[in-house]
Amino acid sequence: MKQVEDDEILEKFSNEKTRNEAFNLLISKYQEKIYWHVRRLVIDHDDADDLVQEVFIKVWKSLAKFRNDSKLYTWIYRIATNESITFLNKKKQRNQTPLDEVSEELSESLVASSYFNGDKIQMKLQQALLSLPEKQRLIFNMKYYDDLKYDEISAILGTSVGALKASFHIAVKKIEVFMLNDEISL
Amino acid sequence: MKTDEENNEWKAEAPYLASLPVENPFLVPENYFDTLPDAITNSVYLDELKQVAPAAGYTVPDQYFSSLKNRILAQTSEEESNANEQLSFDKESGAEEALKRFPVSAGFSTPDQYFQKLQAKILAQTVEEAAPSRESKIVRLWRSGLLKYASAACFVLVAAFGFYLNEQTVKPVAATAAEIANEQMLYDIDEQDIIDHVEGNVADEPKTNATNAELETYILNNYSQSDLSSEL
Repeated sequence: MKQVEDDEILEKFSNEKTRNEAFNLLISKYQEKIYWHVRRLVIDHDDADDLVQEVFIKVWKSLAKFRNDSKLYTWIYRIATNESITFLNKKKQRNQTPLDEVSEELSESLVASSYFNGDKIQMKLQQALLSLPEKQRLIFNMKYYDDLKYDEISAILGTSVGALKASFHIAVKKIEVFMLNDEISL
Repeated sequence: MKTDEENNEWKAEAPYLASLPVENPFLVPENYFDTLPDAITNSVYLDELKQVAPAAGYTVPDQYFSSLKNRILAQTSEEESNANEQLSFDKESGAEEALKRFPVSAGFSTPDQYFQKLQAKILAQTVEEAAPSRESKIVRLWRSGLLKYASAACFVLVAAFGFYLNEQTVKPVAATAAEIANEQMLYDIDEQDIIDHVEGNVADEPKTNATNAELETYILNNYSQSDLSSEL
């Protein structure tokens, strides 16, 4: 199925008569990308499901004010990222758990989740990711899984490309060490 | 080309990670992405509905929620006291255990050992004061009929004497009134007239050596004929 261009979506959205059609096109185009982006951050499917709906509600509310000085998908990614980080912060406050224990909780939910199909190595990789600081995990996911360019990630997170590169390389090294050590311990 | 370099430069630093296939280990429920657009559209619709009618059309009185807590506490405390009252009548029917669960003194407190001292205080003010050392003697006022009649006679005598005295004191009062009237009359007479009258009386003193002719002249000069006739 041919993907509709962002410009076409925005043009249709600006017209009152075709606004709903434009929004349906936008959902169809970005729902999976946004879902997986959120899911890798919050791990649990139900949480990701709620957050995706919240993200698109915000998109619907704010799309009329969207300016073309940034790309539509980076704008939606930014909303999704902010919603996910806000959710994780609220979870920390609600449970009054330190940062490292939050990653433990996410790791436990990963193991208990019925919506995880990875093998042992994939499980180890996800646990290695959960051992990273939130920002490094976010950058690694966007680079490794979503295959985004640094300037795109920079537009989404508002961080310089140099800082992103440094963070990504640090994350990669940590994961490599984690995986090899874990491999040895096995 | 640049993207390839950007995406591959890390692989030299992490060969093990680079050897792993980039797979998504997560799953979603069956047909999840088919139903997600509808779910999102419904969420957007409900959110808009909330904006239009945030409280589903219902309103509450002003400051309802600020006073709600106090009203609930008052209601529960009233119900609790009612329950305690009812349970107190059911002690014999085995409700003592239930009664113990409700704190009767909820919200109130007493000084230390108040109830231990209370019994002693009540006893001191009731039982001990009410227990007299001797029974008081009742004396009748009219022990005999003679004393009763003698008392009545005395009362009549005293009353009559009082009435008599009252009557006697009225007369001096009347005399006093006449004196006051005379004094008022004298007060109204000119002082010179009184002086002239006194001097005149001195001059009118009978002179033993006056002749009958002189007396006759005096009478004729000072008294009219009618005065003389009325005197005679």
